[in-house]
Amino acid sequence: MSSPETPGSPGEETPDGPAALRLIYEYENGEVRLVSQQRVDVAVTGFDLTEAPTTDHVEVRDIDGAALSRVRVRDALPQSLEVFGEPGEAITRVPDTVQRGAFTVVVPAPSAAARVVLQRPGPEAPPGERGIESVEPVVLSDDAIEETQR
Amino acid sequence: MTTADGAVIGTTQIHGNAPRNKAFNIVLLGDGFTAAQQGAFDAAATAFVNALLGTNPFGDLRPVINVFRVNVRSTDSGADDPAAAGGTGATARTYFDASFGGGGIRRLLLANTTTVLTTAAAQVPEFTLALLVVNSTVYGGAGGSIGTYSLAGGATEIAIHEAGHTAFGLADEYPYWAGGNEADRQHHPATEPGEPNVTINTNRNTLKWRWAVAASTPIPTQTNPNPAVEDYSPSPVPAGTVGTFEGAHYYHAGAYRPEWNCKMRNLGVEFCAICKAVIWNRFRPLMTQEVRASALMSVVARYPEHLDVFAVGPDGRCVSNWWDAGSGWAGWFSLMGGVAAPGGAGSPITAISRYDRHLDLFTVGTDNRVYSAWWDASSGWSSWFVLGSIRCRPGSVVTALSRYTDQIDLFTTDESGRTMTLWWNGGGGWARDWVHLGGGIAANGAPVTAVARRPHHLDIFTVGTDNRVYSAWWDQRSGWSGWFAIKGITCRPDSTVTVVARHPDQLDLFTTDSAGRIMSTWWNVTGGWANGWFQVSGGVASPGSDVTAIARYTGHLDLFVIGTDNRVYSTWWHEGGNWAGWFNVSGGVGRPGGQVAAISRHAEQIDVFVTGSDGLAYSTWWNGAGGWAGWFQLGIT
Repeated sequence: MSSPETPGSPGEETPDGPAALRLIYEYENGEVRLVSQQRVDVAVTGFDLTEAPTTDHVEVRDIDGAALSRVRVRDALPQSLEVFGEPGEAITRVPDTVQRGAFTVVVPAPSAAARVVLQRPGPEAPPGERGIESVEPVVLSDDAIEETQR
Repeated sequence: MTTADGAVIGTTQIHGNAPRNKAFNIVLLGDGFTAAQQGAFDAAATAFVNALLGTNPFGDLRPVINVFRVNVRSTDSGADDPAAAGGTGATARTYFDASFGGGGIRRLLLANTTTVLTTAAAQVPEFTLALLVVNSTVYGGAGGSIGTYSLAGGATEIAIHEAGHTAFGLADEYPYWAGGNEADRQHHPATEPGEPNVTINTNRNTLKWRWAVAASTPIPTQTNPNPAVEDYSPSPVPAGTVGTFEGAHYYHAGAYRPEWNCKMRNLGVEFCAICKAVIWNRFRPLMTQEVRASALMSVVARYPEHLDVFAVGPDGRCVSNWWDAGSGWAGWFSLMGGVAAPGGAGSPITAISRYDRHLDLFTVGTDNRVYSAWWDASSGWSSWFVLGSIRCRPGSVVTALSRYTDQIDLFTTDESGRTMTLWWNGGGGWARDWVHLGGGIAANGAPVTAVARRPHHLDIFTVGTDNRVYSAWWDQRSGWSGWFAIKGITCRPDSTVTVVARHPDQLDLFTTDSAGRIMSTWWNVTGGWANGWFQVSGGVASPGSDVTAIARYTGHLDLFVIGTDNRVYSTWWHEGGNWAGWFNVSGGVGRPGGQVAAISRHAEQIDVFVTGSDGLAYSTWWNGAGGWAGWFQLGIT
């Protein structure tokens, strides 16, 4: 086009600041804590409220607790580690006996975002109960978004 | 050994120039390199870039990949190498505290992940993937939230495999846990893995990568005859065949991988087609999208705060993007591997939404058959499937409309130009096959357009072989009428007759005549068809460009077209007045013969989509409060 490029979305003003938040979590022996929140200018792909989460995920909520987005976190608290043989040898897995580490996730954080909740899907319901009641996810960490990052 | 054992020297971008906020940003951090050894780290970082871009599909994705090198000085050279794990017993004071011998296994190279992540975030806040390069020639590495690898030959393969996990959510495809033939790894549990490249499902119709499986490929493609051990027998099908191969996800049997081999199964080989597609789809939202200028983009508002856009790339690939008021544009993604037919203007995708959680798509495939796919909020995207037995002209348009929630009516032209229809309803499903409508034959390249003024009434239009405009109608009480001419003009053979029903008793038609003039006529229930056609405000279209018309409310029409100077033009009509003069929309320029898609999500909003002069998809919008916005490349926001 000959006109200057004007990024934006139909009918919506360009937000004033970066609309995403980088979160860094630390874990040890099953305990998880949020150690860093950082506002970042980055496009977040792969979040969708219409999908029922089947993996660990961070849910961004507004002040009333309504979900705004969910971002998957693959293997947030790994139980095993991958070991690579010399070239040509098999890849293997070993139990993670240390169970300590960190991971990061970037979530959309519009101005309405107030909390970030790291969750794990609840255990599957017994066959007889399927379709009657969904199992609540397990909350691993529930944190307010810091005022300085809002 | 802590961050007191060194310091960050600085960060250098060593590959790419994509905007960081719309790129896949890889950060390489060095550990165990002293101040004097930074050159070795620099060389290792360059070697990684070469290895990555030499691995399919990353080479094709280089425009959206940035790589940064974070030089970090450590007090000592190397990494810890505990004797208890078979190492030398060496210790090294390093910034990230890298150590071989994790879990008692020398090759398992671990580090302080918190320090790696916080350092990466401080140096490149937009980073996507952090990899730690450790200054040692001992072979080793590890995956997880960061990847680690050493300077040993071939260790970059570890980094790329681990990126498969960390950045793309891919599963391991090897069929064992810790070396093989384990008694507790014979059969995969009966739970479908969440990852996109492994499955326990061998139903061809519901397989998660069913779109990539040829009809001639048996499913399952290879089974393990003895689940007590892994099956390493040769592939029964040619290399590169996508199917279901038993033995994956740490189990000898009961879990399947898409191809016989893949980098998620063995280092040193290519990613399989499904993993490549997953990687592409992770990157595609970051990319702008080239689209066929001559094939209209299709846009649907399932509800006023949401748009779904469908387009066809220059290679015929069917792609989509969506916008939601809460999250902006999601970025382009492939639609189940579908390829639309070339020829003529090239087949577009047409899309309808029968209700707010459902989409139906239609196009003509490269075999000139009509294809459909659907999306439902509860189940996601279906595969493409063939509708009926007809073969169309290459590049034919499938016109689709939904008169009510449980009804779809389709119209197209077959290879002889015959005007054909097919329908679906919630009670009976798809009709048995296409039906020829009233003996009609369309001019070469002319589509059949349709409108439902009422739920039980259809009006259809096309350009006949004599290049005149023809119409027919269907009413539930009387069935189909014959075709009749709407006299007064001669069109280009490939002209589209655009129709709008502002209210149930009114039709407005727009098309281009043989000189490219933009012509209109109308029908209403009291006066019937107007006496002839008129030129709309002196407008002339670029040859091959159709007129797009929308009615934001009963007494108002907006038109869009590519003009003879290839600019994007619009005009409007308001009840009681005359047509306004044509004006250039926000300075926009399209391509010769290009199409303009437009939609009104609500009465005071218009969203417009065009292929720009550079071949990329662009959009702009108008609203009653702010007027026209500037054009922007349609990608991710």
